Amino acid sequence: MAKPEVKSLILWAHDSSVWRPFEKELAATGIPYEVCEADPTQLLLDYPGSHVVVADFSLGPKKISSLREKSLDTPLVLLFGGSRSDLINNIFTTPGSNHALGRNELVLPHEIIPLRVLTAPGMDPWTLMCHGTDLLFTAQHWDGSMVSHSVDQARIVAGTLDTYSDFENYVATCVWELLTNAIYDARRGTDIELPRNVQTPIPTDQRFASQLVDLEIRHDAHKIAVRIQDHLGRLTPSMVIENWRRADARSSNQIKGDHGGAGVGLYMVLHEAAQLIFNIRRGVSTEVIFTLPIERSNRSFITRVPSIHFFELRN
Amino acid sequence: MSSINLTTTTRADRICIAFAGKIDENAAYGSINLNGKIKLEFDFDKVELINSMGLQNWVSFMKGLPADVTIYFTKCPLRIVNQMNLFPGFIGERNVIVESFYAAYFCARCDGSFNNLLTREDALRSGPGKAKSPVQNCPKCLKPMEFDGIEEKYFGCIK
Repeated sequence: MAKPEVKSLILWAHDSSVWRPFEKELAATGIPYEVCEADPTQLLLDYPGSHVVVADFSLGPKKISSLREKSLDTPLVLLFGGSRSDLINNIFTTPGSNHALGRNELVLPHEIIPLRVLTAPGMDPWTLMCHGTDLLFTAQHWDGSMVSHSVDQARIVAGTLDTYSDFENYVATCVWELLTNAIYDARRGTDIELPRNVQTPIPTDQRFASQLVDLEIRHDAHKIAVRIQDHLGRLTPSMVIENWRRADARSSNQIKGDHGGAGVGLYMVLHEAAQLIFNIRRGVSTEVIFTLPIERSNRSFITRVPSIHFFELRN
Repeated sequence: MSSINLTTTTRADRICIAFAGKIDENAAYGSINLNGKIKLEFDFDKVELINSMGLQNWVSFMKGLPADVTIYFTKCPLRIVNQMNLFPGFIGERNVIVESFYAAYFCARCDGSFNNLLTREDALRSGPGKAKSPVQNCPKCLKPMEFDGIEEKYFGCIK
């Protein structure tokens, strides 16, 4: 059987009412979907390569692992309603799962974007994220000389949006950590490595394409969306998750300076972003997208269950 | 050049250091002359941002302070309170008293968001270990506002 161009979603849960908040946004995108309360393994075996499964994590790891074992090629998204600590210590320990979708009462349009990318291979998450948005700020970085300026600009432009107090600081902190991660940590061990305290500009005639780090900040009525992209592609999902787990395990004890800022920095981003998308082209680029909903109340933001997605293309 | 400025003043029983700027890898705290005082106050009112490298430098700085000094944190912005709750190591394994801090409040009637300065005493009216958000009135409609956060989490560092 030939593979269809667009895959359809199978929304699998014991209680199908958990999908109700998603219906409006799924209908708006036109992604074909079916809701099922029974194990969809047979359907996946009958129509290989035709589906993406979104499974409620409360089905239990046994059922989810069983589906994974029988249908290795089916993309799997786990619907999840717990804390960030649970997310990194439980969700991403489920074999083959690189996608966690936050279970919230209100689903925002941009939270569906990763499902669109999974069902229509070739779609680019940032292109979809940008649709209908306005540009707030963009900058190119070759070194650490403009990081502070970009962090200040991020704080200023985020502060112009009508949201709760401290919103601009959440945005600025994530920009800061992801920029420094791309400029300093991603280059560690390469011939373009930069010591963390070096912030002098690299002369124009001494720049390499692999040193470029792009920053772009956009917004619409629902969100602020930020993209930071390096041109190295050295980050892997397992590196990110391992960093988070390590930081999570010792955040309750003490912070040690023995592993640079990357672990703690990514951990800060994990706690300050509502949606994180890692779009990795191994050896080519690492694109990190984060979004925060534009809301009037801080509480509605901090009680929101985050969504985290890893897309990885190996050459 | 340091990313943070320190202004030191002396009060009757303590040395007060007010920070202004960013806590990052370039933040230089220098050495603090205690002049025989045993109380040290850190005022965070003008701290704009903190990053992961700054956090680690800060912890080293805290750990290097003399063991017999009592440390007070004052006017902690939301950013600093959040760091203390996320990374308990922020206080450098010291016995720190958070004397005053900002907390977010929201008035649903006026659709207004406010950061109010609270004292430790305000938060601990229910007793030690039971820090809660005190009632705060909206500066516009003068009616009580909602605490705009998760109380158990946010007040976790107020002891």
